[in-house]
Amino acid sequence: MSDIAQASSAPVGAVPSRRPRLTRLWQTKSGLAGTIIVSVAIILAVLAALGLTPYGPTAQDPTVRFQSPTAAYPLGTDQFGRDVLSRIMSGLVSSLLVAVSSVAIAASIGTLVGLVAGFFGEWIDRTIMRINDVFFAFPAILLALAIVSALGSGWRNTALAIGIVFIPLFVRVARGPVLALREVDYIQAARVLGFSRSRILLRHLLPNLGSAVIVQVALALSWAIITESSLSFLGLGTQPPMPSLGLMVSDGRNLVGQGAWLLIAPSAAIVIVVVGLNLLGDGLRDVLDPKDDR
Amino acid sequence: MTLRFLARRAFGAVLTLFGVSVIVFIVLRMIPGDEITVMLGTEAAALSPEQRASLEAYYGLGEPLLVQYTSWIGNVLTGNLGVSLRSGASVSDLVARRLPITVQLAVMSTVIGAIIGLLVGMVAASKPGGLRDAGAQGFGLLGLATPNFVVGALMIGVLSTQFGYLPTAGAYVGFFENPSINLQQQLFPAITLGTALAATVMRTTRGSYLDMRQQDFVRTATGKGVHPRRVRWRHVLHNALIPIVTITGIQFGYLLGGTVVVEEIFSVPGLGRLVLTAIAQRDFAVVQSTVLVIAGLFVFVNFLTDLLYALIDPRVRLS
Repeated sequence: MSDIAQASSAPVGAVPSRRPRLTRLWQTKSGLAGTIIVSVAIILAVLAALGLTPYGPTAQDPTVRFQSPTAAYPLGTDQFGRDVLSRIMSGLVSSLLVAVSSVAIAASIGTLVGLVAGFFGEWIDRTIMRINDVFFAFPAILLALAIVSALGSGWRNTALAIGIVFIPLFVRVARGPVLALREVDYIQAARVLGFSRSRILLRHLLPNLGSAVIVQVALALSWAIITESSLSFLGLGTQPPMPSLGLMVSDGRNLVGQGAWLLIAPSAAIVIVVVGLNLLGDGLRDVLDPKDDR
Repeated sequence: MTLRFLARRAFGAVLTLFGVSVIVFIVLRMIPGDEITVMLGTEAAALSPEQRASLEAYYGLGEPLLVQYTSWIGNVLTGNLGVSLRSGASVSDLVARRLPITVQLAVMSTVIGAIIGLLVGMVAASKPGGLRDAGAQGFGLLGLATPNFVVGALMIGVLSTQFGYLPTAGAYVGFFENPSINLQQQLFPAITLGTALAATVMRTTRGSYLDMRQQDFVRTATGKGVHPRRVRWRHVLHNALIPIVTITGIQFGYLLGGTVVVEEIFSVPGLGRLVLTAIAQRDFAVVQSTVLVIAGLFVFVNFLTDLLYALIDPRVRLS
């Protein structure tokens, strides 16, 4: 019932300090580390998307197969003489692309559904939450796997599958605060004034969900990257020749005798990005949700 | 009171299972193209219209969706999970053979993960802010951020290059054929799966333990001269266990999903591999029923967790 306590003591999202939120995010250790890691990942991905990788991500060069990391190839080369760094940069593009699109799907649909459930209550709420429970009854990867197997692989379907799987997370995150806010004075006042339901929902309730949803977005992005790379690892996500981190780990485990970097580099890339998003999520929670200090 | 609680939870679980079966059914009806083409591939083009019609009638594909669903779920309820479109084998047999393997893997991972998580969590909580706490927090962060397949691939990499041991070599041996070889084969997959669980349990243990330590009844116990060790175990840990049990139960369900990936890496012939092989072969009768079985297990475990939770914490039962 912490939601109610939070809503009644202060408007959700109100912060004691007047310093801009971003500055305060960078003053928390995890917020700063997370921002740096995520920014570097985004910059590398943008460079790759613009074609600015050191080498072509699929360019083969038989004269430099299985090179250990050197100045020319900072992360070495693979069995076809392809530059591992360039491939990781391009792999980041597909990982981030899938993660961002899937979370965009999940966050927009999930938040709206949660808003409706919390606002209307009664049987609408009960029905929505019952369906939500059903979705929670699937291990995420299994449901994503089933959807991808039905739709076919490729990044669009992967993003759609992960998006569907993550909708319930946002339904739950959005519904909680709405339940509490429904009884708050200014919402009651808006009702008394005869504002339309959609106006109350979108103008008065939705803005209050910002912090909770933003924190959830950071965490969902990290889970989406894990799910995407797992599906790619199993051969059901991003398809070759498009480089993907999951596939690189899958290839790397068979080539570990020829070069440990082929396994370590893509593994580290995944873990670093996921850690970065987790830290960012922790930092955001500290800054946006001062009541919820765990 | 307790019986009513049990009945309510059981009813909820059954309702969820019904929803799960509907979703599985709908998802596998999203497959583009008809099942006959999917099943026979290019050979489907050679079928005469009469042959195609008789195949459709045989598999009941011409029926309305509602009829297809009821006949499928009716069969499932009587223990008939259908027939593999590829091999013609009974899916119930396939599942019955592989289910124990997956359950063994999940149980072993849970035991390993829960023990490690509990110990590391208590070490971390014994001196919050200290060096050991920082180390444990780092372990927690890494454990949560490292996907199963990365842990598994790295483990195989290290074992095969540094120790010359390949966990995937050799045929799988059942527990009752040769327990020692079986446990050896299941050990590394179980550690792989247990890592993420250990991280979650560690975080919960640390948080819950620190929470409890500040409670009044702990101060009272210390104040009236109860031995510190007894305070730690009987008063603090016992009460801290409630969220730990819940999270472990919930995670056990997620482990069932994780087994899909880990079984593939370590060549463990469980349910997860059955699903993956069936997906690769586009054998959707097997996919449909196996996904239902795994999700059903998940619901069942969550139900058990609820009951266990009520057992440890009487307040849940009475509310």
